[in-house]
Amino acid sequence: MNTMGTYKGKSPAVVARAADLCGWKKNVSINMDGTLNWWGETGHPTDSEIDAKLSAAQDAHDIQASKREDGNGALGAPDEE
Amino acid sequence: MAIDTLGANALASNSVTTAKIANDAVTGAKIPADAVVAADIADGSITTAKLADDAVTGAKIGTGEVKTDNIENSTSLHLDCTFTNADATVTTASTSNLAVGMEMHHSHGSTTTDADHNGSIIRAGSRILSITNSTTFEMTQNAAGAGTDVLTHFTSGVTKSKIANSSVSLIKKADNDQALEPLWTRLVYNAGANYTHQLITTQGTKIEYANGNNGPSGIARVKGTTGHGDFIFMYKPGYSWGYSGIYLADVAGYVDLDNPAWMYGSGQNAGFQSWGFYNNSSNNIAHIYHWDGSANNLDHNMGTGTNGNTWRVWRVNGVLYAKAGGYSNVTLQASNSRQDFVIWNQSQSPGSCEILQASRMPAGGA
Repeated sequence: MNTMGTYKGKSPAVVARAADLCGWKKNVSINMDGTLNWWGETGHPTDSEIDAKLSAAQDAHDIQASKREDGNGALGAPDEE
Repeated sequence: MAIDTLGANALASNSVTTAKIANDAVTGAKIPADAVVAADIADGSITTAKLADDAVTGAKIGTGEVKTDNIENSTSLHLDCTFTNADATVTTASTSNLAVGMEMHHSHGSTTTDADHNGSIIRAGSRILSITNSTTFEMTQNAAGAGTDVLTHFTSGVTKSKIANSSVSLIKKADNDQALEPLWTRLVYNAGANYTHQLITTQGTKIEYANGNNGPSGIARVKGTTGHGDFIFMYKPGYSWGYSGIYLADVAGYVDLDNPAWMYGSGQNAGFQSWGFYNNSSNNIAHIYHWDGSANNLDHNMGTGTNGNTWRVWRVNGVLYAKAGGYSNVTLQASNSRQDFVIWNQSQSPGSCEILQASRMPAGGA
Protein backbone atom coordinates (compact mmCIF):
# COMPACT_ATOMS: atom_id res chain seq x y z
CA MET A 1 0.00 0.00 0.00
CA ASN A 2 1.27 3.42 -0.90
CA THR A 3 0.81 5.50 2.21
CA MET A 4 3.26 8.31 1.49
CA GLY A 5 1.36 9.92 -1.36
CA THR A 6 4.25 9.12 -3.62
CA TYR A 7 5.15 6.27 -5.92
CA LYS A 8 8.85 7.02 -5.89
CA GLY A 9 10.70 3.74 -5.61
CA LYS A 10 7.73 1.72 -6.77
CA SER A 11 8.17 -0.53 -9.75
CA PRO A 12 6.69 1.19 -12.81
CA ALA A 13 5.71 -2.23 -14.10
CA VAL A 14 3.71 -2.91 -10.91
CA VAL A 15 2.04 0.49 -11.15
CA ALA A 16 1.14 -0.25 -14.77
CA ARG A 17 -0.39 -3.56 -13.67
CA ALA A 18 -2.35 -1.80 -10.92
CA ALA A 19 -3.69 0.70 -13.43
CA ASP A 20 -4.70 -2.14 -15.72
CA LEU A 21 -6.51 -3.84 -12.85
CA CYS A 22 -8.39 -0.59 -12.44
CA GLY A 23 -9.44 -0.89 -16.06
CA TRP A 24 -7.04 1.78 -17.31
CA LYS A 25 -5.50 0.69 -20.59
CA LYS A 26 -3.65 3.89 -21.40
CA ASN A 27 -0.18 4.91 -20.44
CA VAL A 28 0.95 5.63 -16.90
CA SER A 29 4.42 6.37 -15.62
CA ILE A 30 6.00 7.71 -12.47
CA ASN A 31 7.28 11.27 -12.44
CA MET A 32 10.59 12.22 -10.90
CA ASP A 33 8.72 13.63 -7.90
CA GLY A 34 6.93 10.34 -7.30
CA THR A 35 3.53 11.37 -8.60
CA LEU A 36 1.83 9.41 -11.32
CA ASN A 37 1.93 10.78 -14.85
CA TRP A 38 -1.29 10.17 -16.73
CA TRP A 39 -0.08 12.18 -19.70
CA GLY A 40 -2.85 14.72 -19.63
CA GLU A 41 -5.62 12.16 -19.82
CA THR A 42 -8.79 12.50 -17.80
CA GLY A 43 -10.83 9.78 -16.19
CA HIS A 44 -7.80 7.93 -14.94
CA PRO A 45 -7.83 6.02 -11.63
CA THR A 46 -7.22 7.94 -8.47
CA ASP A 47 -4.23 7.30 -6.27
CA SER A 48 -6.52 5.52 -3.81
CA GLU A 49 -7.78 3.23 -6.52
CA ILE A 50 -4.26 2.47 -7.62
CA ASP A 51 -3.21 1.85 -4.03
CA ALA A 52 -6.04 -0.61 -3.62
CA LYS A 53 -4.70 -2.68 -6.51
CA LEU A 54 -1.00 -2.46 -5.74
CA SER A 55 -0.87 -5.62 -3.67
CA ALA A 56 -2.61 -7.73 -6.29
CA ALA A 57 -0.49 -6.13 -8.98
CA GLN A 58 2.67 -6.92 -7.07
CA ASP A 59 1.62 -10.55 -6.60
CA ALA A 60 0.84 -10.98 -10.28
CA HIS A 61 4.12 -9.33 -11.17
CA ASP A 62 6.13 -11.55 -8.85
CA ILE A 63 4.46 -14.77 -9.95
CA GLN A 64 5.25 -14.02 -13.56
CA ALA A 65 8.77 -12.85 -12.78
CA SER A 66 9.58 -15.99 -10.83
CA LYS A 67 8.86 -18.14 -13.86
CA ARG A 68 11.13 -16.23 -16.22
CA GLU A 69 14.86 -16.15 -16.74
CA ASP A 70 14.79 -12.39 -17.19
CA GLY A 71 12.71 -11.83 -14.06
CA ASN A 72 10.29 -9.67 -16.01
CA GLY A 73 6.90 -9.32 -14.35
CA ALA A 74 5.52 -6.61 -16.62
CA LEU A 75 2.05 -6.99 -18.02
CA GLY A 76 2.06 -8.21 -21.59
CA ALA A 77 5.66 -9.36 -21.64
CA PRO A 78 6.11 -11.81 -24.50
CA ASP A 79 7.12 -15.36 -23.73
CA GLU A 80 10.80 -16.03 -23.52
CA GLU A 81 12.46 -18.19 -26.14
CA MET B 1 101.53 68.51 5.43
CA ALA B 2 100.78 65.53 3.37
CA ILE B 3 98.06 63.24 4.49
CA ASP B 4 99.14 59.62 4.34
CA THR B 5 96.22 58.00 6.01
CA LEU B 6 92.61 58.98 6.40
CA GLY B 7 90.77 56.99 9.03
CA ALA B 8 87.19 56.08 8.64
CA ASN B 9 86.31 58.40 11.51
CA ALA B 10 87.74 61.27 9.53
CA LEU B 11 85.04 60.91 6.90
CA ALA B 12 81.88 62.80 7.49
CA SER B 13 78.63 60.90 7.26
CA ASN B 14 77.32 60.92 3.71
CA SER B 15 80.64 62.24 2.48
CA VAL B 16 81.35 59.32 0.09
CA THR B 17 79.06 60.17 -2.76
CA THR B 18 78.57 58.22 -5.97
CA ALA B 19 80.94 60.62 -7.71
CA LYS B 20 83.72 59.66 -5.28
CA ILE B 21 83.53 55.96 -6.19
CA ALA B 22 85.59 54.95 -9.19
CA ASN B 23 83.90 53.05 -11.98
CA ASP B 24 84.01 49.32 -11.31
CA ALA B 25 85.21 50.00 -7.75
CA VAL B 26 82.34 48.18 -6.02
CA THR B 27 82.91 44.44 -6.49
CA GLY B 28 80.59 41.60 -5.58
CA ALA B 29 82.60 40.94 -2.41
CA LYS B 30 81.76 44.43 -1.16
CA ILE B 31 78.02 43.80 -1.27
CA PRO B 32 76.73 41.91 1.77
CA ALA B 33 74.44 38.96 1.34
CA ASP B 34 70.81 40.03 1.06
CA ALA B 35 71.90 43.66 0.58
CA VAL B 36 70.33 43.95 -2.85
CA VAL B 37 66.60 43.86 -2.32
CA ALA B 38 63.89 43.94 -4.96
CA ALA B 39 63.44 47.67 -4.53
CA ASP B 40 67.04 48.21 -5.68
CA ILE B 41 66.40 46.53 -9.03
CA ALA B 42 65.05 48.76 -11.73
CA ASP B 43 61.86 47.69 -13.41
CA GLY B 44 62.59 45.85 -16.61
CA SER B 45 66.28 45.52 -15.86
CA ILE B 46 66.42 41.72 -15.55
CA THR B 47 66.72 40.48 -19.08
CA THR B 48 66.47 36.96 -20.43
CA ALA B 49 70.26 36.81 -20.56
CA LYS B 50 70.40 37.28 -16.80
CA LEU B 51 68.34 34.16 -16.15
CA ALA B 52 70.16 30.88 -15.97
CA ASP B 53 68.94 27.95 -18.02
CA ASP B 54 66.25 26.10 -16.10
CA ALA B 55 66.10 28.99 -13.60
CA VAL B 56 62.35 29.50 -13.97
CA THR B 57 60.70 26.58 -12.23
CA GLY B 58 57.05 25.64 -12.16
CA ALA B 59 56.64 27.18 -8.72
CA LYS B 60 57.63 30.56 -10.14
CA ILE B 61 54.80 30.56 -12.66
CA GLY B 62 51.51 31.79 -11.31
CA THR B 63 48.34 29.83 -11.81
CA GLY B 64 46.70 30.85 -15.07
CA GLU B 65 49.77 32.80 -16.21
CA VAL B 66 50.55 30.55 -19.17
CA LYS B 67 48.34 31.94 -21.91
CA THR B 68 47.43 30.52 -25.28
CA ASP B 69 49.97 32.80 -26.94
CA ASN B 70 52.72 31.23 -24.82
CA ILE B 71 52.02 27.77 -26.17
CA GLU B 72 53.79 26.80 -29.33
CA ASN B 73 51.51 26.05 -32.24
CA SER B 74 51.26 22.32 -32.79
CA THR B 75 52.95 20.83 -35.82
CA SER B 76 52.86 17.36 -37.26
CA LEU B 77 54.96 16.05 -40.11
CA HIS B 78 56.36 12.81 -41.45
CA LEU B 79 59.86 12.26 -42.77
CA ASP B 80 61.84 9.25 -43.90
CA CYS B 81 64.74 8.89 -41.50
CA THR B 82 67.78 6.65 -41.27
CA PHE B 83 68.78 5.30 -37.90
CA THR B 84 71.87 3.53 -36.65
CA ASN B 85 71.53 0.97 -33.90
CA ALA B 86 72.61 2.24 -30.46
CA ASP B 87 73.25 5.70 -31.89
CA ALA B 88 71.30 8.92 -31.37
CA THR B 89 72.28 10.40 -34.73
CA VAL B 90 69.57 10.46 -37.39
CA THR B 91 69.76 11.54 -41.01
CA THR B 92 66.92 12.71 -43.22
CA ALA B 93 66.44 14.61 -46.47
CA SER B 94 66.00 17.96 -44.75
CA THR B 95 65.85 19.17 -41.18
CA SER B 96 64.38 22.52 -42.18
CA ASN B 97 60.97 21.79 -40.66
CA LEU B 98 62.31 20.12 -37.53
CA ALA B 99 62.83 21.77 -34.17
CA VAL B 100 64.52 20.85 -30.94
CA GLY B 101 62.10 19.17 -28.57
CA MET B 102 59.83 17.61 -31.20
CA GLU B 103 58.45 14.25 -30.20
CA MET B 104 59.26 11.31 -32.43
CA HIS B 105 57.16 8.24 -33.07
CA HIS B 106 56.98 5.50 -35.59
CA SER B 107 54.50 6.62 -38.18
CA HIS B 108 51.90 4.01 -37.33
CA GLY B 109 51.24 6.05 -34.27
CA SER B 110 52.23 3.67 -31.56
CA THR B 111 54.56 4.76 -28.83
CA THR B 112 55.40 1.17 -28.19
CA THR B 113 57.79 -0.78 -30.31
CA ASP B 114 56.80 -3.65 -32.49
CA ALA B 115 58.58 -5.36 -35.32
CA ASP B 116 55.66 -5.31 -37.71
CA HIS B 117 55.97 -1.60 -38.32
CA ASN B 118 59.73 -1.11 -38.07
CA GLY B 119 58.71 -0.10 -34.61
CA SER B 120 61.79 -1.40 -32.90
CA ILE B 121 63.92 1.62 -33.66
CA ILE B 122 62.56 4.77 -32.01
CA ARG B 123 62.30 4.38 -28.29
CA ALA B 124 59.18 5.60 -26.54
CA GLY B 125 59.54 9.17 -25.38
CA SER B 126 62.25 10.10 -27.88
CA ARG B 127 62.57 13.73 -28.91
CA ILE B 128 64.92 15.83 -31.00
CA LEU B 129 67.85 16.84 -28.79
CA SER B 130 69.69 19.03 -31.28
CA ILE B 131 69.88 19.73 -34.97
CA THR B 132 73.35 19.27 -36.34
CA ASN B 133 72.94 20.45 -39.92
CA SER B 134 70.51 20.44 -42.82
CA THR B 135 70.30 16.63 -42.93
CA THR B 136 71.31 15.42 -39.49
CA PHE B 137 69.94 15.69 -35.98
CA GLU B 138 70.36 14.01 -32.62
CA MET B 139 67.69 12.20 -30.61
CA THR B 140 67.40 12.28 -26.86
CA GLN B 141 67.82 8.51 -26.81
CA ASN B 142 69.85 6.07 -28.85
CA ALA B 143 68.01 4.16 -31.53
CA ALA B 144 66.99 0.68 -30.52
CA GLY B 145 67.72 -0.67 -33.98
CA ALA B 146 68.97 0.26 -37.42
CA GLY B 147 66.72 1.28 -40.31
CA THR B 148 66.83 3.14 -43.60
CA ASP B 149 64.06 5.46 -44.75
CA VAL B 150 61.89 4.67 -41.76
CA LEU B 151 58.75 6.81 -41.91
CA THR B 152 58.87 8.87 -38.74
CA HIS B 153 56.24 11.10 -37.21
CA PHE B 154 57.38 14.39 -35.65
CA THR B 155 55.11 16.50 -33.47
CA SER B 156 55.46 19.66 -31.42
CA GLY B 157 53.31 21.96 -29.36
CA VAL B 158 50.49 20.10 -27.65
CA THR B 159 51.64 16.61 -28.53
CA LYS B 160 50.13 13.20 -28.01
CA SER B 161 52.08 12.63 -24.82
CA LYS B 162 50.57 15.80 -23.32
CA ILE B 163 47.03 14.49 -23.68
CA ALA B 164 45.93 11.88 -21.17
CA ASN B 165 44.34 8.73 -22.49
CA SER B 166 40.55 8.97 -22.82
CA SER B 167 40.67 12.70 -22.12
CA VAL B 168 39.45 13.83 -25.55
CA SER B 169 35.69 14.03 -25.16
CA LEU B 170 33.16 14.05 -27.97
CA ILE B 171 32.87 17.79 -28.30
CA LYS B 172 36.65 18.17 -28.42
CA LYS B 173 36.89 16.17 -31.59
CA ALA B 174 37.00 17.65 -35.05
CA ASP B 175 33.60 18.54 -36.44
CA ASN B 176 33.62 15.67 -38.91
CA ASP B 177 34.40 13.23 -36.11
CA GLN B 178 31.47 14.43 -34.01
CA ALA B 179 28.98 14.16 -36.81
CA LEU B 180 25.67 12.41 -36.38
CA GLU B 181 25.61 8.82 -37.47
CA PRO B 182 22.63 6.47 -37.66
CA LEU B 183 23.76 4.32 -34.79
CA TRP B 184 22.52 3.76 -31.24
CA THR B 185 25.46 3.80 -28.86
CA ARG B 186 26.27 3.72 -25.14
CA LEU B 187 23.37 1.44 -24.23
CA VAL B 188 22.14 1.68 -20.66
CA TYR B 189 19.81 -0.89 -19.16
CA ASN B 190 16.53 0.45 -17.82
CA ALA B 191 13.64 -0.96 -15.78
CA GLY B 192 15.31 -4.27 -15.00
CA ALA B 193 16.76 -5.07 -18.41
CA ASN B 194 19.70 -7.46 -18.50
CA TYR B 195 21.72 -9.74 -20.74
CA THR B 196 18.62 -11.70 -21.73
CA HIS B 197 17.19 -8.74 -23.65
CA GLN B 198 18.34 -7.78 -27.11
CA LEU B 199 17.62 -4.10 -27.21
CA ILE B 200 19.55 -2.89 -30.25
CA THR B 201 18.86 -4.51 -33.60
CA THR B 202 18.95 -3.83 -37.32
CA GLN B 203 22.70 -3.26 -37.47
CA GLY B 204 22.57 -0.80 -34.61
CA THR B 205 19.93 1.50 -36.09
CA LYS B 206 16.96 0.34 -34.05
CA ILE B 207 16.38 0.22 -30.31
CA GLU B 208 13.35 -1.77 -29.24
CA TYR B 209 11.86 -3.28 -26.13
CA ALA B 210 8.63 -5.22 -26.28
CA ASN B 211 8.81 -6.40 -22.71
CA GLY B 212 5.43 -5.57 -21.27
CA ASN B 213 3.99 -2.36 -19.88
CA ASN B 214 6.80 -0.45 -18.17
CA GLY B 215 8.91 -3.57 -18.50
CA PRO B 216 12.64 -3.84 -19.18
CA SER B 217 13.97 -1.40 -21.77
CA GLY B 218 17.10 0.37 -22.81
CA ILE B 219 18.34 3.90 -23.30
CA ALA B 220 20.92 4.71 -25.93
CA ARG B 221 22.37 7.76 -27.53
CA VAL B 222 22.61 8.50 -31.22
CA LYS B 223 26.25 8.58 -32.18
CA GLY B 224 27.61 12.10 -32.51
CA THR B 225 25.76 15.36 -32.13
CA THR B 226 23.95 17.71 -34.49
CA GLY B 227 26.59 20.41 -34.36
CA HIS B 228 25.56 24.06 -34.41
CA GLY B 229 24.57 24.15 -38.04
CA ASP B 230 22.14 22.39 -40.30
CA PHE B 231 21.29 18.75 -39.72
CA ILE B 232 18.63 16.16 -40.48
CA PHE B 233 17.42 13.36 -38.25
CA MET B 234 14.77 10.94 -39.47
CA TYR B 235 13.38 8.08 -37.46
CA LYS B 236 10.45 5.74 -37.16
CA PRO B 237 8.94 5.61 -33.67
CA GLY B 238 7.11 2.54 -32.40
CA TYR B 239 3.36 2.55 -31.94
CA SER B 240 2.49 0.61 -28.81
CA TRP B 241 1.52 1.06 -25.15
CA GLY B 242 4.75 2.77 -24.16
CA TYR B 243 6.01 6.04 -25.55
CA SER B 244 8.34 5.80 -28.50
CA GLY B 245 10.41 8.64 -29.83
CA ILE B 246 13.40 10.74 -28.99
CA TYR B 247 14.72 13.52 -26.81
CA LEU B 248 16.74 16.35 -28.29
CA ALA B 249 18.76 18.35 -25.77
CA ASP B 250 21.41 21.05 -25.83
CA VAL B 251 24.87 19.58 -25.27
CA ALA B 252 25.83 22.75 -23.39
CA GLY B 253 23.47 21.73 -20.60
CA TYR B 254 25.61 18.77 -19.67
CA VAL B 255 28.81 18.90 -17.70
CA ASP B 256 30.19 15.75 -19.29
CA LEU B 257 28.35 13.83 -21.96
CA ASP B 258 30.87 11.03 -21.70
CA ASN B 259 30.19 10.43 -18.05
CA PRO B 260 28.49 7.03 -17.99
CA ALA B 261 26.07 8.43 -15.42
CA TRP B 262 24.97 11.40 -17.53
CA MET B 263 21.31 12.13 -17.15
CA TYR B 264 19.39 9.98 -19.59
CA GLY B 265 16.30 11.77 -18.43
CA SER B 266 14.17 14.14 -20.38
CA GLY B 267 16.94 16.67 -20.97
CA GLN B 268 15.41 19.29 -18.72
CA ASN B 269 18.51 21.19 -17.70
CA ALA B 270 18.01 24.64 -16.20
CA GLY B 271 18.74 27.34 -18.73
CA PHE B 272 19.04 25.03 -21.72
CA GLN B 273 16.39 24.00 -24.19
CA SER B 274 15.28 20.52 -25.11
CA TRP B 275 12.44 18.84 -26.94
CA GLY B 276 10.71 15.53 -26.40
CA PHE B 277 8.91 13.67 -29.19
CA TYR B 278 6.21 11.27 -28.04
CA ASN B 279 4.19 8.68 -29.92
CA ASN B 280 2.11 5.78 -28.65
CA SER B 281 -0.98 3.72 -29.27
CA SER B 282 -2.44 3.50 -25.78
CA ASN B 283 -3.12 7.23 -25.60
CA ASN B 284 -2.96 7.37 -29.38
CA ILE B 285 -1.11 10.67 -29.45
CA ALA B 286 1.72 12.32 -31.31
CA HIS B 287 3.07 15.11 -29.12
CA ILE B 288 6.10 17.37 -29.08
CA TYR B 289 7.03 18.87 -25.73
CA HIS B 290 9.40 21.81 -25.29
CA TRP B 291 11.54 22.46 -22.25
CA ASP B 292 12.40 26.16 -22.49
CA GLY B 293 15.04 26.08 -19.80
CA SER B 294 12.67 26.40 -16.89
CA ALA B 295 9.32 24.82 -17.79
CA ASN B 296 8.07 21.94 -19.89
CA ASN B 297 5.05 22.49 -22.09
CA LEU B 298 3.18 20.72 -24.84
CA ASP B 299 4.58 22.55 -27.84
CA HIS B 300 2.67 20.77 -30.59
CA ASN B 301 -0.24 18.37 -30.39
CA MET B 302 0.19 16.83 -33.80
CA GLY B 303 -2.85 14.58 -33.56
CA THR B 304 -3.30 10.87 -33.14
CA GLY B 305 -0.29 8.62 -32.91
CA THR B 306 1.46 7.46 -36.06
CA ASN B 307 1.96 3.82 -36.92
CA GLY B 308 5.02 3.11 -39.00
CA ASN B 309 5.43 6.63 -40.30
CA THR B 310 8.64 8.62 -40.46
CA TRP B 311 9.28 11.51 -38.10
CA ARG B 312 11.80 14.20 -38.89
CA VAL B 313 13.71 16.85 -36.99
CA TRP B 314 15.93 19.19 -38.96
CA ARG B 315 17.52 22.58 -38.95
CA VAL B 316 18.08 25.00 -41.78
CA ASN B 317 19.90 28.28 -41.27
CA GLY B 318 19.03 28.59 -37.60
CA VAL B 319 15.41 27.45 -37.88
CA LEU B 320 14.50 24.19 -36.20
CA TYR B 321 11.68 22.13 -37.70
CA ALA B 322 9.86 18.88 -37.06
CA LYS B 323 7.43 16.73 -38.93
CA ALA B 324 5.51 13.76 -37.54
CA GLY B 325 4.46 11.30 -40.20
CA GLY B 326 1.93 12.86 -42.55
CA TYR B 327 1.26 15.87 -40.34
CA SER B 328 2.35 19.30 -41.47
CA ASN B 329 5.75 20.73 -40.71
CA VAL B 330 6.01 22.60 -37.44
CA THR B 331 8.60 25.12 -36.37
CA LEU B 332 10.24 24.35 -33.07
CA GLN B 333 12.46 27.41 -33.02
CA ALA B 334 11.93 30.19 -35.53
CA SER B 335 15.39 31.75 -35.39
CA ASN B 336 18.81 31.56 -33.81
CA SER B 337 18.72 27.83 -33.25
CA ARG B 338 22.43 27.16 -32.88
CA GLN B 339 22.38 24.55 -30.15
CA ASP B 340 24.53 21.48 -30.53
CA PHE B 341 22.02 18.75 -29.78
CA VAL B 342 22.46 15.27 -28.41
CA ILE B 343 19.71 12.77 -29.17
CA TRP B 344 18.53 9.75 -27.23
CA ASN B 345 15.46 7.55 -27.17
CA GLN B 346 12.29 7.40 -25.14
CA SER B 347 12.61 4.22 -23.13
CA GLN B 348 9.19 3.06 -22.07
CA SER B 349 8.35 -0.55 -22.87
CA PRO B 350 6.83 -1.59 -25.14
CA GLY B 351 8.36 0.81 -27.61
CA SER B 352 10.99 1.27 -30.26
CA CYS B 353 12.80 3.80 -32.34
CA GLU B 354 14.53 3.14 -35.64
CA ILE B 355 16.94 5.68 -37.07
CA LEU B 356 16.43 6.15 -40.79
CA GLN B 357 18.84 9.00 -41.46
CA ALA B 358 21.13 11.04 -39.25
CA SER B 359 23.57 13.55 -40.59
CA ARG B 360 24.93 17.02 -40.27
CA MET B 361 24.51 19.03 -43.45
CA PRO B 362 27.84 20.77 -43.94
CA ALA B 363 26.76 22.40 -47.20
CA GLY B 364 23.42 23.48 -45.80
CA GLY B 365 20.05 21.84 -45.32
CA ALA B 366 16.79 22.49 -47.05
